[in-house]
Amino acid sequence: MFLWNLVFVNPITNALIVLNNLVMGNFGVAIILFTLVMRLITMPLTMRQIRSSRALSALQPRVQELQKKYKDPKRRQEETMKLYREAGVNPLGCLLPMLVQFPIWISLYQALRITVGGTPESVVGLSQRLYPWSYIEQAVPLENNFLWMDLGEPDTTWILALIVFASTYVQQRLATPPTTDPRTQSTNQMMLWMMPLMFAFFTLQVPSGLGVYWAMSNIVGVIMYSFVYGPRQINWRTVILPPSAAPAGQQASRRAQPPPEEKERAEQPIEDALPTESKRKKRSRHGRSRGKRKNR
Amino acid sequence: MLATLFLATACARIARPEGWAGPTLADDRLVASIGRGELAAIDIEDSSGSVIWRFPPKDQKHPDGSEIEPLAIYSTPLVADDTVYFGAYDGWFYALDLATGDISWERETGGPIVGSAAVEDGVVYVGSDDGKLYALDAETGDLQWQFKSGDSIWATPLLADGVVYAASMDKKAYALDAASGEEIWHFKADGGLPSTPVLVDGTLLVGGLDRRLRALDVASGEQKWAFKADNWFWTRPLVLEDTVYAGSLDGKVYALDVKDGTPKWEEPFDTGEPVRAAPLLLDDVLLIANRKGNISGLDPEDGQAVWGPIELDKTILSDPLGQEATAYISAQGGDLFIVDKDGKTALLELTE
Repeated sequence: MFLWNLVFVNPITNALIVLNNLVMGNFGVAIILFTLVMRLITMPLTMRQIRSSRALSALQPRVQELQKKYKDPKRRQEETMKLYREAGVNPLGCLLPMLVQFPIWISLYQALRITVGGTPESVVGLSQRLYPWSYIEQAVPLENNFLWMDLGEPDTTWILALIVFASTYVQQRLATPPTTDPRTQSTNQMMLWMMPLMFAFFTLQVPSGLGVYWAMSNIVGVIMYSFVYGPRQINWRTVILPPSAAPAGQQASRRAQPPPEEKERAEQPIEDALPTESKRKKRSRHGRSRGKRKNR
Repeated sequence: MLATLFLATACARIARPEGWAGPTLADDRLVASIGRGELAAIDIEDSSGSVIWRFPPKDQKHPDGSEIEPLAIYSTPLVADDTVYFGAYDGWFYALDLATGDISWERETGGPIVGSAAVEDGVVYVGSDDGKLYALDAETGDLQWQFKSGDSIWATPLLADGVVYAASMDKKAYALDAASGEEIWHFKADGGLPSTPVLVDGTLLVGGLDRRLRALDVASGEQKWAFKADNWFWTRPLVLEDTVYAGSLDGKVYALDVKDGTPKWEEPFDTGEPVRAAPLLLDDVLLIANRKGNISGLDPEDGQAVWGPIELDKTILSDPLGQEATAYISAQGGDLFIVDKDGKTALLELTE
């Protein structure tokens, strides 16, 4: 725990207070700035996660084909993994960047709890976390009021909860890879509503400083998705409307359409759908085998 | 991811105010916090510690009809003229009848009340988190005047010779005319001032979040000296003859010369945990309690431990109360401990 605090919680707590001083003591703006900085630092990981997810989506039709083709689960698994391997896609590629970000998220939650607690006990506790720099210490006690909220208390107006709900929903819609598998579709559909509802519920329970972080983080996430897919590739109408309200033909299709060339690639035979690098390797392997045959 | 979210949310629950009101003695009864947001008068003549009354009263409400929910009590009760004065974290300041616990009057401030009250010449003074120092009629609670500082006032005001001294989290210590609330002078420190000031021989001693214990000239407000510790000073200092004793949140207790702030002990006494509770002299032993609930008895001359530490395993942030050779200590959660000058400790069992 000591190491955890030393490496994660204390630096984040102090960074938040430095930002608070830079923005003239507005802790809400400091949280927003901190979210932007953290998202910027973890952007390579997030982009990798989005691209992995996107590549997996592009391979979905081929995965479906394999699932239909092979009834034996072991063989099916082998062939699916082979497909991923040949396409240069790691199915865990989406999870790893997310896992790396977890310690940052958790320590940020703890740092926010420490800083926006506001009670005399939490201020005493804060004294044990701050670096002995007068620039930091002069910020205490922190100003907890931001817009209509007390950042140390849950927002009882429900406004923040609604913002968190809407932003989580939109990000979830963009992040969920389309699938033709009915079971996965059903799970995705459930998660699409569950996640925003849960986050909105948590927003009503925890200090609103955390809600501000969630909302801002989601908004930055949506911008990142938009950047990766290209804003014109996203059908915002179907992203915002619930799946049941979207035109029937688009329900199973992706909210964020892959670029046409990727779509074409996904509909082509496996070899043709592979990324250039994988194809080059494959060709060179074929070339070697052909050469061997030739030599024989 | 959901599991992590649950974990994170569990970690991020709202910090709940617990309170750190110290006990007060009045005649044969101890008025003390006996739980979160609860106060009681306890008969200490009776060794069983029977509760005479409890606050909040079940059958009373605020003037607007709302329930009385003090949330937490940080304000050590002050007893004067058979009335108990204290503020609560709900922002209300209460005056209770010492005999019955009934509310004589109450007044709402603009924020939680953390400091205790001071009373003189029929006027009671108390600071609030709304940044104001209130002067209220001790009989009726009518507002006499109010002084607005730049931030929360968590310290207890100090009264001397018609002047009220108030330390504020706006980094300033104020000297105000007790009759009118007019500012006489103010001193600006480098950090918030949550510590209750103490006056000795024309010197005002006040600790702050800038890690300094400062001595100010009471007439002009100019700084005489400042002593820097490794963390904040939040305790009310104790002055014995020419020595000031003060605990710091760095876990150490310092003994300094009142005249120039030079250390008197070879080394400060290190308790290992933040010290917010004020030091207390019990006969010839200096009693120190840290946040973890470790109590030590020191020789005030050299700072060496005479006994202890005694581990109470309770959070102690309140100021202990001394009565001859006995100390009463309130722990968070409502436990009351009795410690004698030899370190013998007992839990005061309450009975209805």
